[in-house]
Amino acid sequence: MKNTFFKILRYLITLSVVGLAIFLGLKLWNNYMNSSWTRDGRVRAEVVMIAPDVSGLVSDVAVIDNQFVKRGDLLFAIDKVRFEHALAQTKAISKLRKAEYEMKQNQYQRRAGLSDEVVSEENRNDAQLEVAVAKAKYEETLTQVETAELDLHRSEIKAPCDGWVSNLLMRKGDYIQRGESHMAMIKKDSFWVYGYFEENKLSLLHVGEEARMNMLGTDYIVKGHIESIASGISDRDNVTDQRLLANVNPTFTWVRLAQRIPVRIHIDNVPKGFTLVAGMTCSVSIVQKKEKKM
Amino acid sequence: MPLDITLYGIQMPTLLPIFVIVAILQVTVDSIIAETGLYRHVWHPGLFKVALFVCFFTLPCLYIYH
Repeated sequence: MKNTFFKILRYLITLSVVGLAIFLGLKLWNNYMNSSWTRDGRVRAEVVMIAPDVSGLVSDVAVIDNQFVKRGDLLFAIDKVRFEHALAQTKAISKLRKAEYEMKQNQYQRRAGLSDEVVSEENRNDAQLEVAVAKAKYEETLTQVETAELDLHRSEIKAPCDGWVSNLLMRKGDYIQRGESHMAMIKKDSFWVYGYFEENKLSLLHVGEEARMNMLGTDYIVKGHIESIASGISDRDNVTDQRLLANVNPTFTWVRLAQRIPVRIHIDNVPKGFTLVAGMTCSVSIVQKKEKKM
Repeated sequence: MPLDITLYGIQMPTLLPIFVIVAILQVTVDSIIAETGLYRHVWHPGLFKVALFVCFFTLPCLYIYH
């Protein structure tokens, strides 16, 4: 009797521990795979690519690497001499056109006052139209002067916003082309975090929910909230070919990994003593609203 | 508890150090049970040990991923 009791007890102890282990294991698996967190988060910032509106030699670089600049501060200047010459030239042309216009005007006034016996009708009409032509030509040169002034003004490149100059490689004496970016500026207060969440976790996330970012290698917790969720990512199995036809990858794997969707997180609070740098890594966990209520 | 732990500048999931600690705990508990002869009351010691380890490991982990 006692022997059978011990036999049953043996089975009972073992199987209950095994059952508990299976239960806890499944629960942990479920929580690990399906809770709203990711270790793949990146700090990002808005970067302005500063490019000049005119070509020319760089005559002055007014900032140093990593310098903080205010909106409107001079960043660098392009040699002005050419633009000053252009302005002087257009001004001179403008004067010429103005004189021509005045001359035509006087001519017309004179001819308009004379009788039909002295000046023909045709001559008078021509004189009137010549005034219009001269006026249009003069006005054209006025806009040319304005453009030349604009070029001169734009030869000084100024900061479009508050921020930091980053990775400054431009030097005095470089020749730079119009529209070519040579300076990157990180906009102040434009930092945000992109949390790359697996697609299966996306249904757990909602806009407005609190997010906690643990910065890699530190104990700092940056707080924020979900601002938006990306509406689309690229289809890696269908890269359109040159003739815009579908190019579907014929290989398909048995084991599939969840793709990652960027979730934009607005930063609300940065702990004191911690400097945010664009490109930093962090793990993001979302505090779900339902949990908070409980 | 944090999701990640930093040791000498290397960041890793907290599960990793927990695993190591639990492994040490398991060895200790195993030797205690063997000493006291409690394994006589266990039907399949190998299975029991594995199940015990899973329990030890999942409990602190569930605290992190609750």
